[in-house]
Formats: sequence, structure tokens, C-alpha cells
Amino acid sequence: MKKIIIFLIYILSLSAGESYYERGKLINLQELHTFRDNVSSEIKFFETPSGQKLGITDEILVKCKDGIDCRSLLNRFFLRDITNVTDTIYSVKIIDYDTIFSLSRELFESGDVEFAHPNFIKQKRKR
Amino acid sequence: MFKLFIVYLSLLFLFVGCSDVKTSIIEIKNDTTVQEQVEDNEELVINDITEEAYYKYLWHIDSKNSSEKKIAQEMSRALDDKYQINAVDEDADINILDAWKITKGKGVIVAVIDDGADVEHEDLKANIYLTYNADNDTNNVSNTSNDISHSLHGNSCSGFIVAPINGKGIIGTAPESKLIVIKQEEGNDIKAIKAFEYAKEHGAKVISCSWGTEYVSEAVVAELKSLYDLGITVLFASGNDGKSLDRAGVYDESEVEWVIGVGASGENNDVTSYSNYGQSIDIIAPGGDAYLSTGLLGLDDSGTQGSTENYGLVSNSYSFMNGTSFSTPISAGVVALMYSVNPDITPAQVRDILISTADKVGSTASYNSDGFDEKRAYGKIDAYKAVLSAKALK
Repeated sequence: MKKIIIFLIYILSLSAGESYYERGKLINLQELHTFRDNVSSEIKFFETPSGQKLGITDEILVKCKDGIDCRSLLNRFFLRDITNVTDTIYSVKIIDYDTIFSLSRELFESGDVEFAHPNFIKQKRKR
Repeated sequence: MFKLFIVYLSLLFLFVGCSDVKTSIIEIKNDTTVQEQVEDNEELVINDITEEAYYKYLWHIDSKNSSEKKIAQEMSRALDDKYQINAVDEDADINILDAWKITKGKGVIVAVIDDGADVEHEDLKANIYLTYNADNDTNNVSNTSNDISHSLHGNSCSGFIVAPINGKGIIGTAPESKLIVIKQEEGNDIKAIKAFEYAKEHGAKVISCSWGTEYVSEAVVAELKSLYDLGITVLFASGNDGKSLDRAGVYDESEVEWVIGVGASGENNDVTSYSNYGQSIDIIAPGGDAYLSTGLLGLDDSGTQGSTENYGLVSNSYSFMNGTSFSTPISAGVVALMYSVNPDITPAQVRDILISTADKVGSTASYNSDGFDEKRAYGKIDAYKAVLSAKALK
């Protein structure tokens, strides 16, 4: 029995997953692999339930609901490295890469944002 | 004697004057900037579009041109009869010759977001307004490495919109509009948004995108909505897999409510078998079908390097191609014509006009009561009717 439990834990650890909110729905992702470039950054790759492959950088994209002071909200989450991508969309750099999904979820669950998701890297197909 | 002296002085003055003029001409010839301006001006005064070097291959512009059978014969010879070549249907074009009697897109800026372009291409450079590389925040969008394996898909896309009437090569659908070439290859949400922001901030009214991810992020959708609200029309290609996009887990850029989704029609004046389709695709436009005939003739995707098919019929700067990648800029040019006659037109009005004036190609029985067909969307774009309707709204 003990061996079975250890085996199950091993299997679960192999199939580590993450999740984020997309259009209000929680999307579960399956971790695939990590890419490291020659400098310092790394990009983790995940797969959606429908088979889409997504890379993530160390940034979260956030848009707050009307009337919300977005910078104050982000400061409440101890997020400091904030950049305006547009007038209303912010990019936030995360120090601890492993917290990117939990922070994205917490921001969305605050009820003050329209969306909060990692900066995704996707395969862009020319047509 | 005095009169003779006056004549001598006059002759001397004339000689010196002529020398100055000659010197000035030499100086102008040595000044490449001025030379380019002179060439540009020469390009603008050519009005007979049939004198365009490869006019006979431009079936999406003029499918009634009597040379299509000749093209088919040439193609057959070039390909050793490898394929069954069919002549182009005489209604396969987008009715743009009449639209050009009203406007050729003057005053409108169009942005193409893709993998760059050859900014020195003979059929592009006169209409390039700005360049921007959103991947590295520079203005370098060209393939400078001369690496034939690195194609410039954006080169072909751009040509279908702005290739000028200059006696060379092809003609874009809005040949007097101006182009912002934006290079953005990495499928990175932040960089994609930066590309759209650059187009917006530099005056683009139309943005043509011949790519997709089938999994568009909320941040990108929010940006597309913001452009829509600002009066900028964005077009996206539906893709070339011949599949429905109405599947669980697929949310393609071409399906976003705030853009015009474009599929492809072929030389037979019907939707192509490769064109992706779905409830959110709006129109189809010529994308060409190499299995029917030549495909579309466009700017070669490697600039002058000639990496793709020209069958020995055209120079290395041009090639035959097919895909929704090309039906999209052809449509973007039509939208530019609409903005040219009515600068205040909204993206919602653009869409309404495009779908209500579209030509119901194929079997009319396949369109529902709203005028929609699952594979052909609302039909093939009709440039003349679209421009007339846009003008009437003014």
C-alpha cells in the first residue's frame, strides 16, 4: 500500500499543473518543459486542456475595472515593477517566477480586475 | 563696337548660365534623395493600370482580362502539364476597377503587422510611411542578412495593399494609401499589444494581420476592443487548414468580435477548400488556389531573392502564392478605400457594409436568411459597392 501511495505521489509530481482565469473561467494547464536561454531568463511551457501550448514569461498582464486605481491595487499585492503597456493595461514583473499563477488568480479573485493573466508566448502561425 | 561688346557679354553670360545649369543637373543626379523623389513622381503620373508589368496575372483585380487562358497555357508549359490548369472565372475579381474611379486610397494609412518587409522593393518603397520592429524596439524591419531561408511573409502581404501604379510588377488594392510596416514575429502578448499601439499612435486607420494563434489572450482582445472604439478597423486571416473554428478550446484572433475575419476565395469564384470558416468569420476575398490555376501574383516573400514560385513567368521580385494571408490584405486595401471616401466611418459600419454588399458566390441556396453561409461567410467582398456605401454614409 505504501508503495502504491509513493508511486501515486511520484506520478502526481510528474504531472504538475497550474491554472489561471481566462474570460472568468479557471483554465487548468499541464506543465510541459522549461526553456532557458543563454543569459538568465527561463520560460516554462504549459498545455491547455484543448492542446494549445503556452509559454509564460515573468510578467502578468492586468486590466482593472472602471473606477479602480490599478497601481494602488497592484501595490496592495506588493507588486512594484509596474509598466503601462497601454492606457489601461499594465504589465507587472514578478520576482518569484513560481508565484505567477497564484498571483494572477488572487488578482482576479479580488473582483477589481477585468483580467489578470501571465504574459503568454504562443505559436504565431503565418497564414 | 559697343554693340559687339554687348553681344559678347550676352554670349558670355549665356555660356556661364548654361554651365551653372549643367552643374546643377549633375548635382541633382548625384543626390540620390532627389533622384528617388523624381522616380516617385514619375511613378505617380502613370495612370494606365493595364501597363503594369504583370497586369495580366492580376485576376483578383481584373478577372475579365482576356489573357487568363493565355496564362493557363503559359502555366501548363512551365509546369510540364503537371497540374490540370483551369482558366479563371470571369467574375473572380472583387469589382475594384470601378472603385478606383472613385478613390485609390489617398490619405489613408494602413499598418501591416507581420514578420517585416523588404523596404527597398521596387513595388513597395514609394508607399512606405514608417517602419517599426516591436520585437526589439527599433525601426529595422528588413531581412538584412540576405538569408534566403528567412522569408518576409509581410512583404507579400504589404504589396497586396499598397503596391503603387508605377508600371512595375503588381498593383495593391489601395495603391495610393501609405503603409506602416510593423515587424512582430514573437508570439508574445506584450509585444503584440505594442505593435497595435504603434499603429494606433501613428495614424493607422486599418490594420492587416495575416497570422493567428487560435488562442487569443484576454489582454489582446482588450486591445482590439480599444482600437475598435477608437475607429480603427483590424482584419485577421482565418487560416488555411480547411477547418471550422467553431470548436471547443479554439478562440482565434479572426473570431474576435472587434475584428473583420477574412477567408479565401479562389480563381473559380468560390470559397477555397483550405479556407478556415466559422460563425465569426465575416467575408471571403481572393486568396488564390494553386490547384485551380496560378494562385495570386504578389511580391516575393524574400524580396528580390526569389525563394518561392515564379514558374519562370515573372522576375525574382514576384511570385505566385495562395492563402488567407493574402485575402486579408486585399480586403484591408478595400477598407482603406472606404476610409478614403469617408474618414469618419466606424469599424461597425465598415463591417455592416462589407457583409451587406458582399457577392453571394457559390450556391445562393446555401446562405441562410441572414445572408450567411457557414463556409463562405457573408460572401466575397465587393470593393465598388463597399466604397459607394461608405461614401453614401458621409
